[in-house]
Amino acid sequence: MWFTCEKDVLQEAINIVQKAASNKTTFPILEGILITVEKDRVILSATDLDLGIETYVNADIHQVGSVVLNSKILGEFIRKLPNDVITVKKENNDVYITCLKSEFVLVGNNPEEFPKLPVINENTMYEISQDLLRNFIKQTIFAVATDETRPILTGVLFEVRNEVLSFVALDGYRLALKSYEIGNKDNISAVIPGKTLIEISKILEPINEPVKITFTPNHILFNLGDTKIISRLLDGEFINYRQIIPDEYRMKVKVKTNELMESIERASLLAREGKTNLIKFEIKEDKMVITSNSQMGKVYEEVNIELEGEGLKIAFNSKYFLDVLRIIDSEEIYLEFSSNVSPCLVKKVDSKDYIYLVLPVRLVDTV
Amino acid sequence: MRKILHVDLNAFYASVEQALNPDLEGLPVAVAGDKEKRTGIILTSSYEARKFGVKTGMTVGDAKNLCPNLVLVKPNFKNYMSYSIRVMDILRSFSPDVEQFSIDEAWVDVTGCEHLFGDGAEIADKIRHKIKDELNITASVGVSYCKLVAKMASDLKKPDATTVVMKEDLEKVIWPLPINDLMGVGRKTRIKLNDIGIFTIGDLANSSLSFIEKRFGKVGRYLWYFANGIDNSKVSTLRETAKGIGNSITTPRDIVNLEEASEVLMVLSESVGKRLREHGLEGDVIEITVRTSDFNTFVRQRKIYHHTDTTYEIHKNALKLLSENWVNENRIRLLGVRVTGLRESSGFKQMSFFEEKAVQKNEVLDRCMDTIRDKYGKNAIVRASMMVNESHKSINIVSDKEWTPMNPFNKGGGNL
Repeated sequence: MWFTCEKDVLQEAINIVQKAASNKTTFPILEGILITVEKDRVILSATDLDLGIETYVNADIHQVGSVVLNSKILGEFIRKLPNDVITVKKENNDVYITCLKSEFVLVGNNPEEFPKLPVINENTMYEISQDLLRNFIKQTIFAVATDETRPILTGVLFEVRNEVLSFVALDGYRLALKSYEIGNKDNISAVIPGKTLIEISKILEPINEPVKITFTPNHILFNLGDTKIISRLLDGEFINYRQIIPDEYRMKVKVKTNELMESIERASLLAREGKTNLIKFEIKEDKMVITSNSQMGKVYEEVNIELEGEGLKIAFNSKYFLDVLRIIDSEEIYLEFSSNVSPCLVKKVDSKDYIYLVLPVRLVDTV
Repeated sequence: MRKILHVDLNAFYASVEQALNPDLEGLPVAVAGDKEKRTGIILTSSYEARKFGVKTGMTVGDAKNLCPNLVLVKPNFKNYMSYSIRVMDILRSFSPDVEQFSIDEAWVDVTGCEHLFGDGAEIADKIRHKIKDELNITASVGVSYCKLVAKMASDLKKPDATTVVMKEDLEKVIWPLPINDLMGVGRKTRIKLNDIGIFTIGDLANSSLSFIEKRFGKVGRYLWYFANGIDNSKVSTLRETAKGIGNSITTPRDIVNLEEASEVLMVLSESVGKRLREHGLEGDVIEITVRTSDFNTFVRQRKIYHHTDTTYEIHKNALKLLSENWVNENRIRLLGVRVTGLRESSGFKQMSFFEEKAVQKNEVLDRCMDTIRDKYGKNAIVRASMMVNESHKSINIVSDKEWTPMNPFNKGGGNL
């Protein structure tokens, strides 16, 4: 095995596949990156058995072969090399990495021991741009459950139905739903682990290049051209989210996203102190009053609004509101309410492609 | 200047026995663990018995030799606990700042309560009278400007007395006391201090701090401060200090199936839940302790991602933890349930898509049961699941760790 390539190119490829390498030492080979040199290309791959990533590197090939090298050490060493041509050559079990006057010899692991990524028949089922997929992930991923009580909720639902592609994430307390008209495609419903999507979103760029997506019963494959990402899907049925989203409301508030966010951010400073993140809204005619208090003091904020319907007093966990205000891509939003113990819906004024639903905080009944 | 009281219940276990059983009044009584065996240990003796020299820690045999008419009683911790709780309630009726140090001792910060109840000594007398009237047991109360001196003051006159020791009294009242009367001086430290010529608290107070510190390190520094009556620690209520609230039960007979275990866990969860609600706390970590009949003990805990104080949720999670971790061949002889990750309950609850109805229902149910039980007693209302096995009614619940807080003089506010 012997090839030469530019440092930048190799470093970028390592950065990409590293995201799938395991950090746990229970199975040391999984901490490695498999380097395979074929006649016409070099392939880097890594996997933790849930997630697998492989990517191609442009290189001059002198001799085919393969080896597994520790991902962390390799990555750090390459990053610290000067910007020049790197030669990677395997002799017996040792891998010589040279660049200008530096030489690094790493003991390689047997590539035969490296688990094979599942082979997926690549008949593309769906295609969306990198930028769109990135937004889909960004606007839903924060709502996945962080606890394992219901494992299915640690993932995001990928659903195609009636020509609409939707991503849905929900924990017990809020739900994020992003959708897009994808055209006449097969219906599907699959749950992708949250961790997979977080790693993918780090690789995706805000560009129009297409991502090809393929499913098998147990896996999903994202093909970005030079990079392929394969992930296990989560087992089980997703929650029937449609029955959670109400289609009626009794009052509707129109508000500037930024103003609301900044007010809540200030109010949450004190709410955080009480460990409850509790903020209260009082909605009346043309304004919304936001208050919070703790032993340290209290905050009072007013935000201008346009109100349809009667006023209302309601309380929320500020985090659940800030999460959505920080990522929603609309200058103005609607808040829809029915009562102080029913969910609030957050929608974009200019588009129907996003719905966020959050449950309020209620007063404990005392007898 | 702060006004701190230290309330010490006199001969507590024995007093409770005498209060509950008028036949024992005026007799030399001792509570002993194994009263049938001569090797059993005296836990507490009444003042009548103390006259004969009967002391805590003696064997039953030795005590009987000193006082042949000694009446021995088996301990009943449930009664002691309920008396203790009632005393604490009385203390809290004078000031919210009550720090319980053990089952029969507590500090009360009454700074600023003078307008309501009179000066420190008057409040102390009122507390003593109220305890005597309502519970027919006696207390010694120390009144001072800090916790340390208040505690020493309560020791000066027993039983049923109020002792005031202010700063200017230190030299006269505290300094002549032997050094082992000082908090933190045990047998070993006493010997070491005696070796360098320190026999009284005054001897230590008048030594040079740097000399003591060099010799005994940080501990020496604290002891020197204590000897000089310097103690800035706060009277801290459970709210601020409790890390967890828990109960455990040694079951009358070994538990062999999950159904039985579930019932016992329910008894425990009810008690833990009630205590949480009483203190206005909620927690998000549920922990169980299991001791099997071969005396292996294990603890398992789980974070539940939202704060709760309901019996239902505590029980549900405790049972789940047990069923996941219990190998059925092992018989269980002790079970414990504990809730940690505590915070003050705000009275607000984040609503959830899941089980919202059940959660709300149980909140109301718990509070309703609490009210009924407070008014008419614990057995006035019981869960149907508890009626299957009547024996659970008689189980002794023991609060874990509640009576053994960390060093009470290390609670902030101090600039030692």
